[in-house]
Amino acid sequence: MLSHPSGCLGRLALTQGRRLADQLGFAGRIFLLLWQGQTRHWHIFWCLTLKEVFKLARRTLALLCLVGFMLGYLWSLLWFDTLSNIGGLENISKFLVSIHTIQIAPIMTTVVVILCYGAPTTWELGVMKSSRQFEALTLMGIPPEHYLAAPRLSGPFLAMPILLTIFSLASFFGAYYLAWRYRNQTIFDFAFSLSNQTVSRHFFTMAFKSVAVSLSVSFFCVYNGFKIEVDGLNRGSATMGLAMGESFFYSVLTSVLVSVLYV
Amino acid sequence: MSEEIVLQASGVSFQNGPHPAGGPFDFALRLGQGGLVVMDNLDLLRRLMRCCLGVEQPETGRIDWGAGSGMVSRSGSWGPYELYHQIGCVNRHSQLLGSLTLSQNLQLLHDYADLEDGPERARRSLADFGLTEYGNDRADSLPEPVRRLALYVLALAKAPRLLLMERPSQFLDRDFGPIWAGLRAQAGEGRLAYLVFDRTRLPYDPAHFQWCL
Repeated sequence: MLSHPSGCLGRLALTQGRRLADQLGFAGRIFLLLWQGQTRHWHIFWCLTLKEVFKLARRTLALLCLVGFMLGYLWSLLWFDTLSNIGGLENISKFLVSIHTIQIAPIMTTVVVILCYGAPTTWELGVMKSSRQFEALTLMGIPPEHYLAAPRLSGPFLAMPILLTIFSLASFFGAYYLAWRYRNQTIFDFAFSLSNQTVSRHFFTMAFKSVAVSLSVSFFCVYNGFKIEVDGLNRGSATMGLAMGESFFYSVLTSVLVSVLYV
Repeated sequence: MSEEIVLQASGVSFQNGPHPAGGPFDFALRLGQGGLVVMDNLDLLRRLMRCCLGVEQPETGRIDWGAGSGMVSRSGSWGPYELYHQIGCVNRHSQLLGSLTLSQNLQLLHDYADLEDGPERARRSLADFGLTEYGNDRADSLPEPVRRLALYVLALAKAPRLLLMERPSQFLDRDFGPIWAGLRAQAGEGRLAYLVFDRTRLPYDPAHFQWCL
């Protein structure tokens, strides 16, 4: 017998609500352990965080530069032709800053970070959980949330502003490469036109987006890695799907919310 | 012999679905004592050991660690994890973090347990067990006997008051003799209580245990 649609919706809402409550509890637990251990284990936390920052940079930097360059190039190509035909070519640098850098760059950086760092992190944690290494940590008197989760949250939090900046610079270079080829602009002209369009509000928006995106990506990837059951790697694909889906959804959502509230 | 109880099981029993799997188990292990738990049912043996470690809850009954002995965790700081700094464990599942070297594993343990002279102590522990040459090897590449010895190094590094061992001599052969003698000496001085879980009582001298379950 088919169930009533409202029943399905109710069950879905209930499941999501329960999952949200669990996620809030997980976040609270990490915060509490970090707070409790701050005086005694602060140096371990910072060492592990720096390790994660380097890991993130090593995995994502090349792809970020390439994607940033290509996207800046293609974006300018698209708008260059359009603005040449309908007029207003002088505004291309304004669009580059306000649309490409503020709206598109955070989302593209999120995609690269999820693919190169978030998904491997979920898998790594899942394998550790499944092979009882979480239990080993517990028996050593080390909370897995402190040793494994907290650095994986703080690493992207610290690295994301740098990665976003690198992505934007690569995009600018891609855009400049096109502008230079078509209009024989010098790099100083290009930088000058960009700086004219950039205001402090843009920096604040990028900072807020960086915080929102980094926390969304890292939290949901880590949470799903922690939720894999012992000897439960046969459900790994479903968990990876959830981790990537949730982290991308909440990254875009928070990014859009920052845009709506602040821009 | 100290009267201080470090581990107490009261009415602990297990179910397999609707059927009773084993129990109830009642025992108390005091500081300085050795206990032997022998069971043919390996699953039940492991479940009881996991309950004694606190990573699994028994279906009925309760387990207490060092009630009134200062072995319970201090409130307001690290929570239940402090308890594990006073319990050593050598069980079937490797307790080494595979991605770290043996020295790093030991260093990590020292850092979290707030033990003084961490690096020096780690070096000395490895030397005592003849594992210096393996110090810089990744834990997941160690041969089984070395890994087992390393588990003893890790378990004893915290100077635990309670040591739980599953099939303690497995993979060790001749290396186990000195370890066992050391453990018994510590227990004799009233600094340690040990509990052994095994399928058979054949390898053990009954004189080494105060009680057998």
